[in-house]
Amino acid sequence: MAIDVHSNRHLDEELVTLRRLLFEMSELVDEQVAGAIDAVSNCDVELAHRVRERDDEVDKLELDVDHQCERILALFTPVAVDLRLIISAVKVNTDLERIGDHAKNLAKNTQKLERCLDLIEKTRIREMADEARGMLHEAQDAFMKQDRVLAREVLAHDRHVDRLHDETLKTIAGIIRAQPERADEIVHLVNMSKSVERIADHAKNIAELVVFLVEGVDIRHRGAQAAAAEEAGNETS
Amino acid sequence: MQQNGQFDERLKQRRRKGLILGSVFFVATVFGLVVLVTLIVDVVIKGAQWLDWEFLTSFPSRNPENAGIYSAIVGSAWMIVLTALISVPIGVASAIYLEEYAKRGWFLKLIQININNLAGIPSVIFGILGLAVFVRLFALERSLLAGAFTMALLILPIIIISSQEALRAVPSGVRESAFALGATRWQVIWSHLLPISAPGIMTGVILSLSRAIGETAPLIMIGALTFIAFLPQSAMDQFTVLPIQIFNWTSRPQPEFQGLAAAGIIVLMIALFIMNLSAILLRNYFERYRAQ
Amino acid sequence: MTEKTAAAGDTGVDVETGDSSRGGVSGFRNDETGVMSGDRARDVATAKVRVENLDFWYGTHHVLKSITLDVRANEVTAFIGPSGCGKSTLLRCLNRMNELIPDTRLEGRVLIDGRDIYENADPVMVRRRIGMVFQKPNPFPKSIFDNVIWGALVNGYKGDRDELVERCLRQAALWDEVKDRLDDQAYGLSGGQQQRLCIARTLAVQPDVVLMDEPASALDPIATAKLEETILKLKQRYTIVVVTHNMQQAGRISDRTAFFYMGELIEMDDTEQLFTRPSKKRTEDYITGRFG
Repeated sequence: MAIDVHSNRHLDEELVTLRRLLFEMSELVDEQVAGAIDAVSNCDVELAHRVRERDDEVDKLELDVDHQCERILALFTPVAVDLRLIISAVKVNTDLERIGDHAKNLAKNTQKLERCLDLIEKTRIREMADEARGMLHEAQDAFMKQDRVLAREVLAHDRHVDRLHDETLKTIAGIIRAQPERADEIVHLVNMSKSVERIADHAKNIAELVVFLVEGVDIRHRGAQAAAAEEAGNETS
Repeated sequence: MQQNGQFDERLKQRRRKGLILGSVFFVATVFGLVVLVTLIVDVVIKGAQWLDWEFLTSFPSRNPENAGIYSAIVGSAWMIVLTALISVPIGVASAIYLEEYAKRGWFLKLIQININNLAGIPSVIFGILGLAVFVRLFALERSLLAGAFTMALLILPIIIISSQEALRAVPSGVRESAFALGATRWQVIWSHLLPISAPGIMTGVILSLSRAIGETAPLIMIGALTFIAFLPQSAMDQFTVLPIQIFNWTSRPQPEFQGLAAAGIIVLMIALFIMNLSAILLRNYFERYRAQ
Repeated sequence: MTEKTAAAGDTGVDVETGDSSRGGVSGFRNDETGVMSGDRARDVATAKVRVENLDFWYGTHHVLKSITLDVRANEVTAFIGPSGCGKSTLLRCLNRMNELIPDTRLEGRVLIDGRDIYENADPVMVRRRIGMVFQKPNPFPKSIFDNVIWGALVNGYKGDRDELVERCLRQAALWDEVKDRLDDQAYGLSGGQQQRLCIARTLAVQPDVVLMDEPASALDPIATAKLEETILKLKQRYTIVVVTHNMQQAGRISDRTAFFYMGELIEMDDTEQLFTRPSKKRTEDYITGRFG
C-alpha cells in the first residue's frame, strides 16, 4: 500500500523526541551521580563544583520533558501504551530530577566531609553508593528498552540498599558515641547516607514505572492496593 | 414485558382496522385492473380478426374489406417526429434557462406558475390556438407542420417541467465540485448536468410524446382530415393520425368498421406500449450511472 | 506544525522583544529564552490568504461578523467551532462559492497573495487558484481518469494528460491503488478512495490553496488516517485550510487553528498554543467539550 496505515506517524516522531530527551536526561543524571560520589570519595572540590553547576542543565531538561509531554497530550490525545508512556515519562522526569538534586546535595557536602573520609570507610556507604549507581543504571536501561525483567531485578536491590542504610545509621550512631567531639562532622555522614538511599529509592520508582508501562499493571503501594481490594470484596459479600 | 398503565394499546382493534382498509385498497386495485382487462379483452376480441398485414399497409376505403390504416400510421409517425423536433430543443433549452440561468425572484415564480398552468389546459384549446395562429396567421394550412407546431405547444409545458425536475435531481455535489474546479456555467451544464439528467429528460420527452400520439381534438381543430388515401410527402402536406382514423371508423354504422376501429386501437396500444417500455428501459439503463 | 527544532540549537536566536508569551515557535516554552525567531516577519510576508473585515449575510441573517485573519503559505490552518458558527461559510467565501447561492451579500475583502479576489476578478479564475474538497466525496459519474483530467481540460490544459493524471493521483496518495484501472468508473471506489480522487482532481488545475470542508467526516477511521497523512504531505506544495468539527483532527494535522463562535472569530493561534493555553475562556470551554 502506498501509505503507511499507521496514522500516528507524526505522533511517533513526537514520542521519539520525548524518548531522546529522557535519554539525555538520564545520561546526564547518571554522570551527576557518578561525579558526586567520586567528588566525595576523592575530595575533589572542583568536580563537586561542576556537579552543582550542571544541575541547572538537569532542571532545564525537566522542563523540556514536561513541555513535550503536555504538547503530545494536547495535540494527539494518546491512548493505551502511548498514554502510559506519557504518564511514565512525567513521573520518571520527576524521579530523575530528584536524583539530580540528591547528587547536587552530595556534591555540596564534599568539603564538609573532607575530614571524615576515614570514617566513611567504616560505614557501608561506599557499598550503598555502588549499588545505587548500579540500580540507577539498570532502571534507566530497563526504561529505554522497556525491559520488565530487568526492572524487577532493580526492585530486589532496593531492599538490600535499605538494609545497608539501616546498618550505616547504627554504625554512625556508634561512632558519634565513641567520638563525641567530632559529632558536628560525623552528622553529615547521615545526610550522605540518606542521599544515597534516596537515589536508590528513586531508581526503584523508575523500575516500577517500567512495569506499569509494559504490563499496564501498577505495582506501586502493594499494601494499599491489597487493602482496597479486600474492602471492596467485603462490601459486595 | 413491563405493563405501563398509561398505554391503551388496543392491538386487536388496530389490527382489524388495518385489515379492513387493506382489503378496501385491494378491491380498489382489483377493480381498476378488472376494468382495464375487460376493455383490452373486448378490443382484442373485436379487432384481432381484422389485424393483418394488409390492414397495416392499405389505405382507408369505403369497403371494410379493403380498409387499412397505413396513412394513419405514417401520419402519426411524421407527427411525432416533427413534434419532437420542435418541442424538445425549445423545451430543454427553456428548462436549462429556468433552472440554471434565470435569477431567482418574483418574475421567475410568475413564469413557473404559468408554465404549470399551461400543462393543465384542455388540449382542444391548443387546437383552437393552432387553428388561429398556425393554420391561418402563418398560412400553413392543414399541414403536418401546423399540426406539429400545435402538438408541440401542447406538450411543451410538460417537457419543460419534467426537464427541470431532471436537472434539479442532479446531485448538488457534482454541480458544486464542477464549479469549484474553475468551470464556467456552460461547461458545467454541458459536461455534467446534461449528461446526468439526460435519462430523466428523455423519459419526460417520451412520455409527453406518447400522450401526443393519442391526442385527437387539437388535430381535428386544425383540420387533419379523416379520409386520407395517400401518404404525406412533405411537412406541408395534409395528413391524418391514428386516433382520428379510429374515431372516423367508430362513427360509421357498419359493424365491420367497429372491428376495424378495434384493430386500430390495438395498433395504437401497441405503439403506446412500446414507447412507455422504452422510457422504462432507458431509465433503468441509466440508473447505474446515478450518483449514490 | 512547525518542526520541533533541536533542544540544543535554539539558544542563539535574538530576543526581538520582551514579549515572551506568543512566540509560537516549535514546541518550546519560551519564557526563558524569549524566542520569537522571525515569526513576526513571517506574518507579514507570507500571508497567503488574508481576510479583512469580512461580513456575510444569507438574506437578512448576519452569518459572519467582521472576520479578519491570515492564512500562511504552506501551512495547514484549521477552522473549528460548533455547528452553525460560520466556519464553512467563511471557507466558501474564500473561493467565491457562496456566489452560487441566491440572496447572499458579502462585505469586506479577501486577498490572495495581496490581490483582492472579489474586486475586478473573474470567479472562474479565482476558483482555479483556490480549489475545494467537499464533505461528501462527490466524484463525477465518469472514469477515474476523466475525473482527474476534466478540471484541467475545461481550463484549457494543453500538456501531457497521462502525466498530469499520474502526478495528481500520486500527490493524493491514490496512484498505486488505481493505476491499473484508470478507466473504471469512479463510483466503484471506496469512500476514502473517492475522497482522495476528489483531492486529485482539485490538484489537477494546479491551485495554490486547497480548501477542505470537513473532508473526513464521511470516512471511517482508517480512511481518515490516510487522508490526514495525505494532507500533511500536501502542505509542502500547497496552502491548506481545513474546516473540521473534530478537534483531535485539528490537533493532529494543523499548524494554526482558528476558533469561531456565532459568526465571530474568537481566537486564532498556533495549534499547540491554542490547545494547551487558549487565551479566551470560550475557546477553552469549547475545546474541553464544556459546550458545543
